[in-house]
Amino acid sequence: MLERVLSMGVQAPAATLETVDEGRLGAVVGEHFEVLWRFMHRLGLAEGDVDDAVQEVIVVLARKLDQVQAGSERAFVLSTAFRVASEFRRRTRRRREVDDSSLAQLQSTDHDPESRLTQKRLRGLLQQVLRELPIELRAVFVLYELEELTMAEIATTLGLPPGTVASRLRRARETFEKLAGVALKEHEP
Amino acid sequence: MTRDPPRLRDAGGASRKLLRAADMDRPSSAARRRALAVAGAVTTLGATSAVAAASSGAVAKGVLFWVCVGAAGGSTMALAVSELVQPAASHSSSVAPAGAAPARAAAIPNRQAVSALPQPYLPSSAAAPTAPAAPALAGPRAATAVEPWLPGLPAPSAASFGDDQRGKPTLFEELRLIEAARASVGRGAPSPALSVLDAYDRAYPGGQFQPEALALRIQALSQSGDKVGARAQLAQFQRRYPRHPLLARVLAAAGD
Repeated sequence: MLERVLSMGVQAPAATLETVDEGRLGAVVGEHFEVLWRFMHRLGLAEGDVDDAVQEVIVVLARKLDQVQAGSERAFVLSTAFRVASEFRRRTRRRREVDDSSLAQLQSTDHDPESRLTQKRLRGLLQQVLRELPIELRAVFVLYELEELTMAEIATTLGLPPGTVASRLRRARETFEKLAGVALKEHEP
Repeated sequence: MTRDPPRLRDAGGASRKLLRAADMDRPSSAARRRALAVAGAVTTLGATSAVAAASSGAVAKGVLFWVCVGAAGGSTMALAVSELVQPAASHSSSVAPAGAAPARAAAIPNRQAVSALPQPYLPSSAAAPTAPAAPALAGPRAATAVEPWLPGLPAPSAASFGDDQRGKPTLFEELRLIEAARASVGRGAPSPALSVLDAYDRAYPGGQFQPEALALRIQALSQSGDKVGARAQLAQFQRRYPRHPLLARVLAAAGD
């Protein structure tokens, strides 16, 4: 199973775990955990799968850390996350995607109950709309609109030609805007 | 490269509203803690896996399975690791081979970070951090020694059940018991699982895997047909670990 994890979208590991720089690994995981976790969620993984998928990314990161240049950690984490999430989605194709109840488990900094409820509802709608986007479009859209990467960074991260990123983002935005309008109209009180 | 368009969140309308709602999303501190724990555990286990495999293959395999895959237990396993790495130095020494570099077992940044993080799974009642096993389970079974019916797992040493183990490195000893109980539950053999869990509770009242042990107990009781016992343990689980990721699983196991 470990071999399967390690072979997922990466070449043969260049480093054994014995040689991993533990301090750097911990620092990278600590620094990029939130974006990794959010990205997994936005790609449509269910709550339980996000934890598992994050772990898989960490294992791959540990194996490949010596090949990751300083400053490229986020790109590596996100590109690995995309591959792992895609694999997870294939494996759990029949499983229902993340629903509102799991979204409710996300922590919110808003302590006003009414506002929290509204935010929860909006996050649920956001997730519903994202779900309608094919994962290739969704990944580009999430990285651009939610994680605020530049298109050039997305091209590097996902290993795509710049033109492909631009066209995917354009299509994703068009679809998202249409669906967001419909979703809000249907659900606004 | 085409110029980056203005982001929708900075425009108006429905898109802005939905996208800005995402600003409030944060993974839980527990999820972060699990990730950091996995980062620490993966490297530690990697460094010692050969030795561990030689001395306790099943346990090493179990740990890797738990940490890296989590297919059977889902986040349970990651949680288990996250819990066990908190007392970093002692646990490091518990898994480090005799010949390992001492520096490796000392303070490791990510594990220090893990130790410093909040502990949302601590019992809700601080007065009862280590509730004893239910009386119905602590009777005859409590006196049962761990038997050699645990496939692939060497029986824990007698010392591993002694009070003198408290406060000492117990990672693999604890894990051995939990893994044994989990394997029994997985085989649909609740009786041996309950015996192991009794032994675990007796040997490690402040153990690292108490939530997992209690969850397994609920599963085992449910498997054995003791629905009343399962529900009693479920109530205890809910009281002690109201926000634990295993809660949904144990609720399902108890038939709630």
